[in-house]
Amino acid sequence: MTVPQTTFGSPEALMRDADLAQLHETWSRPRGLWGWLVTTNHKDIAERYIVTAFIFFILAGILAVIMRIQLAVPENHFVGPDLYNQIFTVHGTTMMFLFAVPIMEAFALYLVPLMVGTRNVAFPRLNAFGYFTYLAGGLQLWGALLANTGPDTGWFAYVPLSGPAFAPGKRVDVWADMVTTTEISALVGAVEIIVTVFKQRAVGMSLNRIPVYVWAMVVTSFMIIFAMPAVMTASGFLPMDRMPHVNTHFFNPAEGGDALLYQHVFWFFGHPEVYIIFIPATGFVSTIITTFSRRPIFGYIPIILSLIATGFIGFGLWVHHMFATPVPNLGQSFFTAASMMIAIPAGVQIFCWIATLWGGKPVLKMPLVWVLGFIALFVLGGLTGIMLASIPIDLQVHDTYFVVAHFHYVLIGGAVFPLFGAVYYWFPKMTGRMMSEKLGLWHFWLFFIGFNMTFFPMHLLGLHGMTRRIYTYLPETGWGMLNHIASSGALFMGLGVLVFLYNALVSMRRGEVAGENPWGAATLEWTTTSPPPKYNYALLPTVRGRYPLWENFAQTPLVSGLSTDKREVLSTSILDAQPEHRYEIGTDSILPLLMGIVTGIFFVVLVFTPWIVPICAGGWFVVMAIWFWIGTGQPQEKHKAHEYHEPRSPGEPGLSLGSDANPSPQT
Amino acid sequence: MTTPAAETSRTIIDISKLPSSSMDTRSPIWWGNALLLCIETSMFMIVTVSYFYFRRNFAQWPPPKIDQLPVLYHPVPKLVLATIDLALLLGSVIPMVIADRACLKMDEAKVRFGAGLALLIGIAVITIRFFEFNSLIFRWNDNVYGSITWTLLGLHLMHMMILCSEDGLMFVWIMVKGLDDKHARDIRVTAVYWYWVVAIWVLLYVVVFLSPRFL
Repeated sequence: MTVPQTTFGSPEALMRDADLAQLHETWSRPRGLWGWLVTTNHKDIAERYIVTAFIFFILAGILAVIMRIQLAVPENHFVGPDLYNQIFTVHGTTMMFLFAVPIMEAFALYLVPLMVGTRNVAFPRLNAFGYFTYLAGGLQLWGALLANTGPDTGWFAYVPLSGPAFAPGKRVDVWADMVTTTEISALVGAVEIIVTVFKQRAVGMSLNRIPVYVWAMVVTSFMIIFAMPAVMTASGFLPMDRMPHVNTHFFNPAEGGDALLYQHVFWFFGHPEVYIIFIPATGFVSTIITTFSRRPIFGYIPIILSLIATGFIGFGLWVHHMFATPVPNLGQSFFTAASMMIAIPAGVQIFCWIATLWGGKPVLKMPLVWVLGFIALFVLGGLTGIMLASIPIDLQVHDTYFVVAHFHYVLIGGAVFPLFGAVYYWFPKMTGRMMSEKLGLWHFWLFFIGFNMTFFPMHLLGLHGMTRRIYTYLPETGWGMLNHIASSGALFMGLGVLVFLYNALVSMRRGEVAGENPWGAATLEWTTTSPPPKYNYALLPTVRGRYPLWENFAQTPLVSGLSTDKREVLSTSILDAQPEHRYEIGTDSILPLLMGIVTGIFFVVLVFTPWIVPICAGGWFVVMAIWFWIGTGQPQEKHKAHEYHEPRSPGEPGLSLGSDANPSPQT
Repeated sequence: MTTPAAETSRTIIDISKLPSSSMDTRSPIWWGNALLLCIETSMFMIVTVSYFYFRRNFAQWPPPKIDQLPVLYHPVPKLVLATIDLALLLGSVIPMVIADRACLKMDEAKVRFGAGLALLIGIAVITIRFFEFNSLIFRWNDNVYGSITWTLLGLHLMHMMILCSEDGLMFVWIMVKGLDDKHARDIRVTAVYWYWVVAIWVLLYVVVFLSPRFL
């Protein structure tokens, strides 16, 4: 077989051909459709997630264009009120649950194992299950919309509007079950990321050497773990209230229930959700700025501390979505203070980025262009955020287009811009080819101008009193011109996305060949070939600093000794990343798909009857039992008595990186 | 796998002599389990907070049961079955600890005894739980008090069932195939889950069964 050559000492060349061939064989998936269904490789799964999430992004974007066409002129009859309700609900729900969170986790599931220098995520089958569950949730929502059963009570589905009294039919049940389904997949992804980072880092990658992006994903994953159970509680209580034969009274005031509790529980998830989307984006930004400034990032430690601070403060803000409800004044003041406080860690990060650019020699390639766009737009979104944190202003513009403008600036400016930057940045790693810079600039300017045309006028519309979620308005309101500008902008944005799709599809086949490190970046994923082999690294890399490729990587030790005949990864200690033990992970299997199918059926049928619970519980048990019984199919090792294997001391030969292993980079 | 180290100046760290599994917090599966328990703990906390949130809407908690004669003015949940459950679950910790410790010594007989006895107790608790719902006096669809208490008990019942399935599968594996390194570790991870389920029941016992009497 041909050995891919890399300029970083070509680890493959250090292995015997027979070992390399066996390694390749062990990590390859079966051929054909079967292989496609059973694969558990993190790159296969992540690519699927990314493609699926972008498809949902485009579908939800089409809904947005339909809304903008409807609102372009007063008293338009392009779509009726009922369909309009479904469209804005499915647009918001798709963007939040099927695009923003999954795509951020998808990038992490692709990049984190590569960046920490391991071969796969910690629980590969669970990872595959997460994808199938996510897909089932997405199909459920969009299938329902096509059947005219799309949810129509807004992406947060407040009771009592979404309760049994005011929303008969199955629309809200579809929404709630779809939320639960996709949250399962988000939680699964979060557990994968944390355990992979905690236990599978390259030897020598102590906590203070973890790439900023990986830190960002750890913080995000912890936020997912503590935030998502809240929305699952909400999306569990709501269908229980609505379901025939169950009819609980959680949100029914007549029987002591409380509609406001729904808002508390929803926003206890919903606000951290904003940071679950935004923190990965800051990870992209830090990575891209470091690479294109050609220098270590300014303030590594303050940036990490800011990420963690954001993770904590993000849980203390949820009531600022509820300022228009009868929450006690003292409580509201507390949440105003917290909402303003969170500007501090965001500000620290922005100043660190500016300082990095200032002190470096910025190379203006497409990823950096998107990041510069991000900084401009996110500052604007942040400013309106501080305005909305103030109760008097919030009460004035509550539920108007001012809020719509604010959160689109924060979410598109704050997350989608860095995301596009990340696509341009890592596309060469994923496909082996560069994206066109020229088309990239067209994409950027169409999207940037279109974005500002669409959403800037919405600030003014909100101040003029145009409320959210109305399907049309009268000519006398005077909102026509601004709406018309906004709608034209949407077309520019749509064109920009089309250019992007064209660029991606063409570059995938005919782009310039990238080589393993086209940007001269510093993190580990750029040491392996593009696209990476199934096993990521033939010999595992080690690191001696935060920027391994800028610190004489060719002299850094490599790790050998993992089995080549079964899928083994190296487990290292949490703090110092010292080698601890080898660990066999799951092989390719059809069981995750079966499990996903059972879960998908469960949540579709649950819309109609609770009796699916015991039936699917049986299904889950059967699949899990098979899953457990087959295991990885390898013979089990038995020892007389299990010894405690203390990690060997760093001084012992063979496991040490040497005393010169701490050239801690100055920032 | 041998490495032709002569071909390179790069240092090669050979890890082939490291153990192939770990029995404690060094194991990834231990962390996976711990994080899933974090998720479930958040869930129980939110549902428990909801319980007290609903309580603020009532002058009397639990509300009087007026659809029967004689009217129950203070229908606090009955303690008998819940207390038996509490005793059984606390007692089940002992065999689980025995199994947990025996895994370190690979003492198969003790692991069988511990995991088997814990499984029996678990099944007993599940059986009692189905009758225990009647101790709540209200049904889930009578009022929000019924809804939230049934939900708390139901969530715990769900965990009991998953826990017993897990322990049961391990038990069958050991009976059929004997104890090996990986399954010894898995039993230790199941034990962590077991302790957590018991701890949650202590919390729910205090919240659902004691707090309406004493708070």
